[in-house]
Amino acid sequence: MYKLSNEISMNLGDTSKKLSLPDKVKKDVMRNKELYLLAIPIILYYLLFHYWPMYGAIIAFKNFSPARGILKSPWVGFEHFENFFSGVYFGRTLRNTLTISITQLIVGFPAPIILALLINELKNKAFARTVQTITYMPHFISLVVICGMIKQFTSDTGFITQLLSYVGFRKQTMLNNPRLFVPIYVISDIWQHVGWGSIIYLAALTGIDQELYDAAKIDGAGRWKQTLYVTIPGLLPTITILFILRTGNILSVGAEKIILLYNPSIYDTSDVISSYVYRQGLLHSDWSYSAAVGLFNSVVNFSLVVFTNWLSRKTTDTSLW
Amino acid sequence: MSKMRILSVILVLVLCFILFAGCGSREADTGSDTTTEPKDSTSTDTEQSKDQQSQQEDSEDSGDAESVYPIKGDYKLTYWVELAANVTAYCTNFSELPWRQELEKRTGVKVEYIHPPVGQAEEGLNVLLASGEYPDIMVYQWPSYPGGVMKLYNDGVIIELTELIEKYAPNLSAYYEANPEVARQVKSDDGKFYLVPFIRGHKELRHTSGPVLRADWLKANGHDVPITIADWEKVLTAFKENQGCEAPFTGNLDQIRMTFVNAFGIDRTFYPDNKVVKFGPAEDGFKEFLTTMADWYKKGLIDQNFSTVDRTIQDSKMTTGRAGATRAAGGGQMGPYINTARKENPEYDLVAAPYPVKNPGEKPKYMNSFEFTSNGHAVITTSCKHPDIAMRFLDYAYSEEGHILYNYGIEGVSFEYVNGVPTYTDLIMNNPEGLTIAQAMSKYCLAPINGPFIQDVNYIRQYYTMPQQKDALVKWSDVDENTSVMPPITFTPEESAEVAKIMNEINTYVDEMTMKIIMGTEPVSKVDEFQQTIKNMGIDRAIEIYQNALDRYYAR
Repeated sequence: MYKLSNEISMNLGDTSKKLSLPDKVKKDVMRNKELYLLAIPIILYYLLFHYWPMYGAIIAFKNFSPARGILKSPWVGFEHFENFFSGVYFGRTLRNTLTISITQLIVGFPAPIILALLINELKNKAFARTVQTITYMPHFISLVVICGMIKQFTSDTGFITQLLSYVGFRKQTMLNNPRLFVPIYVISDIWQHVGWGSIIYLAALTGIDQELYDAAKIDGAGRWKQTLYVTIPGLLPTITILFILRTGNILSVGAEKIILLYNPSIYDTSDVISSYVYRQGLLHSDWSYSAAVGLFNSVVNFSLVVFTNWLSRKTTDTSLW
Repeated sequence: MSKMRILSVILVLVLCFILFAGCGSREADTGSDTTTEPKDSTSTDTEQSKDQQSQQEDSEDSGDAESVYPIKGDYKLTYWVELAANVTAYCTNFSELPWRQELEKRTGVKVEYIHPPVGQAEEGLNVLLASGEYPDIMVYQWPSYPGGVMKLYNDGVIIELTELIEKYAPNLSAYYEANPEVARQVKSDDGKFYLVPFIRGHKELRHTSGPVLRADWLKANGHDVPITIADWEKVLTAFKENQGCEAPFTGNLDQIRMTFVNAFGIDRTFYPDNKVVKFGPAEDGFKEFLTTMADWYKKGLIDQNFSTVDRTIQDSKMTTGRAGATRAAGGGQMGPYINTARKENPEYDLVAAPYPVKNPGEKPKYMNSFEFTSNGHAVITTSCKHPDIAMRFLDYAYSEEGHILYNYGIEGVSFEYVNGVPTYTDLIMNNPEGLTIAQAMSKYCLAPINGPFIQDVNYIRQYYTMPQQKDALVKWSDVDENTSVMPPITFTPEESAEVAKIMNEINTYVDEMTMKIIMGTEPVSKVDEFQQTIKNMGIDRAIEIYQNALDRYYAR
């Protein structure tokens, strides 16, 4: 009996013995040649334009000069990083970057989800479509125009200041008050992007099985309970993926909107890493220095994504990889 | 079924067509062929540029020092320069401009112009430098290139020009002999020339922005143009009380500083006091300046929202009467303000004021500027096969004939002599095709842009057509002649990196505190603490670096 099963297993080969990796791959390619063929240009594109250029990050450890090229520029080790970390304002810019980012994450991330849920509840489909269109129009307005508007509306004679004065706020140029910068930045960001962001959630909502809703109704669930026990769990995979991806942007508060809105009297809360490095670049352009700062940002962001992904895998079942 | 098929195929073809239509052919000038002759072993590494130069000289027959135009022989040069915004309205390459064609005719040298994509000069430049193959002549704002011309020389990109100038540029040499201080500005710290410069030949060309006020309001209040700080306070107060204006003086922090700080015996940043470097915010005059500004802000004489003022807000406030005074550009703002505002209010008028002083009879100090500024300078690269021809070509601009061509264009076409003064014709001033003065001028000369030549003051006196603008130039350039701003010093790359790090921190702090003190968020008494903090942040080291650079400047 024992000998027979050995023979059988030797003859059958694949089904009981474990395959080595190269053999597994070869089998898969044979079976799905056309798919692989289709995928090769994409893979090449990523290898050539995203992975290969990564070696350029070594200029963070050199004094790069375009005329000498990457390989021939001299090494300086961690000099740029030391310069960056030892700056008087490093702590402040890091703190502001994190504050703005995390506030955006906590307040700004749920906003499109809530909007999607609300739109989903609307019975009048024509009204729902109008709401959608109106809410995602601001996404297309240029940032420069938006910031011009914000500055006018929050000046001491602006209409937002007027409105707020009716509920007891003192009339002031809001962009002169360091404590108001983060709210202005985050709220205007939500206003601009909430409609556009809700689109992906609305799409995910249509993917939730209608039968689940019926089952819930039979069990006596009202609209709110249905949302809690059917809709949100149904959205959870999408939310988780998008959240993990979002953490990869924690240190990347882009300079443009900050520079358009800030002014020296509120540097306390508005000067972030990118705006500070921008001003330094005006005094002394240094590819290597900005590469070093960028590398620091990327390393931190990457670690956060890996960590969040791991956390998500352990606690829920969804993860990016 | 087959109709759908045909339709789909047609749609796909249309889509593909649209895709390829986007791959336009406007890229002829983006540096694909940067040299006219086949590239040989002219390497860009540590080749001794001097050896190469002497090689060239021996192999050329252009031995005589006196250049005679047109240059004999069929020489062609490649010339890299940004495509000026003014000409993009009617051409895509400098070779199309009538005056450049005339220049080719007169010098006998054919020039192939290469332009980086508009607005991407820096990227285009870096790509070009990385390629190792350079055009013969490159015109750019070299002083602001990281490391400056010394870096380019050490990296083997450009050649040193002192001997070439002596041998092949008699006009430029004569100019330097007559103006040794200008020669000093152009030289590098080692006393040699690496650039062929853009020179703003007269002070009126260098003060094209300054204080302007509502002339009609001044008249209504019975006031003259303010001269002293006390005058200004009187005038701005009257604007507030009589005209009910919400922002008697508007502008952002820089404009406020640039207008008023020099009245207090300092400059807003580093300046030379008898060849000794000082930093404005660290000096006593700064406390006085802050006190006055804070006081004016409290009285409402300065725009309460000055922290958020930008160009559009400034333009809007000045033309709608919400502001009465500001610091504006003569050409770009004064003229347009008057034209726009007069449509609604025919009484609207602007007048320029000289930069304010503390006491009558004084002149504002540390404002006098230099002929050599940052943009428009030419270098000759190591790829140039005939640097002597290139130098002769560039030298034409500094000859009498060349000076007229570069500044005014072609006689009978773009200018005529009126009482001995070259005067632009109607083709320029009232262009029949509707081009603006700047655009029309740029077709026939280089004056409104920049480049390796000497800009003539009579260009701007005609470019500014309104009497208010011409008057502005005179007033704004009326500054103390015995002091000046920081001369065009150069830092070594290490100095530059060190001073940039220190100054970014100090500038951040200075800007913050200045704003807070003016706005009243911090009391003026904080100034002593503020000046101590600047010291702790390393201002003395920065001053030391500037002093070293200044000493090297005077030793050139």
